[in-house]
Amino acid sequence: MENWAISVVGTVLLTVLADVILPDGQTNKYVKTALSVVVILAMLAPVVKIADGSLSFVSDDKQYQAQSQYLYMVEQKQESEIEQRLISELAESGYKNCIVEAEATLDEQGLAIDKISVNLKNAVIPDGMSNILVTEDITDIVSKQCGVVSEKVVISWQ
Amino acid sequence: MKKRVLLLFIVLTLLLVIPFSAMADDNKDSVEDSLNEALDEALDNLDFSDVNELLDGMMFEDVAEKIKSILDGEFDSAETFLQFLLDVFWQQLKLIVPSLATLFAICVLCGLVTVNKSGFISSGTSNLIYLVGLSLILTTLVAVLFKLYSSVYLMFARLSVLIDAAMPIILTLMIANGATVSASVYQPAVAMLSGGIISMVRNVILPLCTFGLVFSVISHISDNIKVTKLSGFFSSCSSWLLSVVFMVFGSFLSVQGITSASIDGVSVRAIKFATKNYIPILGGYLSDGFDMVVASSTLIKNAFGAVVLLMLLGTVVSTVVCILAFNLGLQLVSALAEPLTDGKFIGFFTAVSKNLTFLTVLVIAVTFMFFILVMLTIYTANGFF
Repeated sequence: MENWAISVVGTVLLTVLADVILPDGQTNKYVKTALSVVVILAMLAPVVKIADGSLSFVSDDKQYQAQSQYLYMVEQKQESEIEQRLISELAESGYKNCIVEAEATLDEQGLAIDKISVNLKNAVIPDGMSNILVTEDITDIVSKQCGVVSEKVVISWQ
Repeated sequence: MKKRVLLLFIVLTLLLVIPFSAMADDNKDSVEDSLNEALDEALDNLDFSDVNELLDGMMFEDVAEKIKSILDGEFDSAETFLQFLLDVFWQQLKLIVPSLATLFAICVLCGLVTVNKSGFISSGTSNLIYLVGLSLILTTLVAVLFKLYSSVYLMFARLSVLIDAAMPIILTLMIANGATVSASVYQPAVAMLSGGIISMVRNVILPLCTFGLVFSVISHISDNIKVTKLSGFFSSCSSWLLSVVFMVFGSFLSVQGITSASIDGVSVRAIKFATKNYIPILGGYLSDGFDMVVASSTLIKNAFGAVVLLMLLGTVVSTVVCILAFNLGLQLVSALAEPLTDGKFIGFFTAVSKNLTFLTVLVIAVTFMFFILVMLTIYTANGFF
């Protein structure tokens, strides 16, 4: 850009200098005409480059990545939050001392719960309930609380 | 018996009169301490190194410390900003005053020569001296204009680098707040601004502006070469392009930003109200961990947005002040030299001044686009409580 501007201004100055130095007459007119054509060619030089395609106005596509360390910290806290809420919800429903582990992923699409494991090894179960009924009841409670499908809820007794 | 009744009455009266505020104060302190801990933990986990590298010439030296001071309520006063502006103005003025003085001196000398044309100096010699004076003025002016245009190019590059460094942090905080839709909307918008629009400004609009300036300079140099209309054409092209770009970007961002923010707000509230133990943070009640994370992310996002705006101001202000100062100085030189010199020089300075005015408008328009974008990200993902 600077080179182009310098070339145009320099050519114009040359034309003005020629106009001053040359004596009046036919030669002066022809020289001025020739130099004017040179000035026009110098001014139109960038247009040739555009036609060739050597000037580009398109930028590279950019992608921004979120900081994974911070998202991991938030993910850990949200997993802990989910676990605490489920423990208190299960306790209210009669299932005390349950061990809950939540696995979630936080990324640009949001928080997605991958799996919720409920360990009933030390849990206090209400009297008269069979293991199958307990499993179904707990799966139902966890699914409703967290909005996940039952396949993502894993109940273990050991 | 009567004594017992009297004693009981006195105890009950005292219980009614004495206020119980200890429990509420403990809750408030607990929430405040939890929030401060969450803020410190969040700031430790965020990487500000890319943004810290761009702090040359700014009013602060560390982004994390500035965020903490903003969260503590320590914001720079208007006097500090004005003092910063004045310092930048005087600094730029010192750089351009010699050039303006040179231009004025050359104009006056050439004017004196023109006055003496019919006296001691012949017409041919007078024309030659005029040409020399014109060359000197061109040399001085072109040197300053190149410096101004180069600083504008560099400024746009720095803006692009600043936004590329800041947006990952803002997007991270928006995702942590649950504003995933807004984050997915702003990501292409920022890429469009930082990549496409800056490229268009640097590769199309600025060159068109330069063409217009060069042609207006040429048309005032020689009576034989008139390219005034061509200069006007390029100036109009650059003005129209800037207006279209500004309108399209502003419309796109406003509509997308509003709708995405409402979608995020509804989805986050739906998640919260699905759980039974949701306790709001407002009013100083105890809050759960999720709200504390969201609250700290929101506070840091807003404070960081304010820091980015300060950096934006710091990046742009010296360039804008320099262009404005030189533009005003050129108009002052024109006004002072007009009675003493040839009208061609005054017309020349006026044409350059018009182009510099457009350059100022271009810089302010692009800065405003960045400003709108950062402000929208600050105001998005705040209404989830």
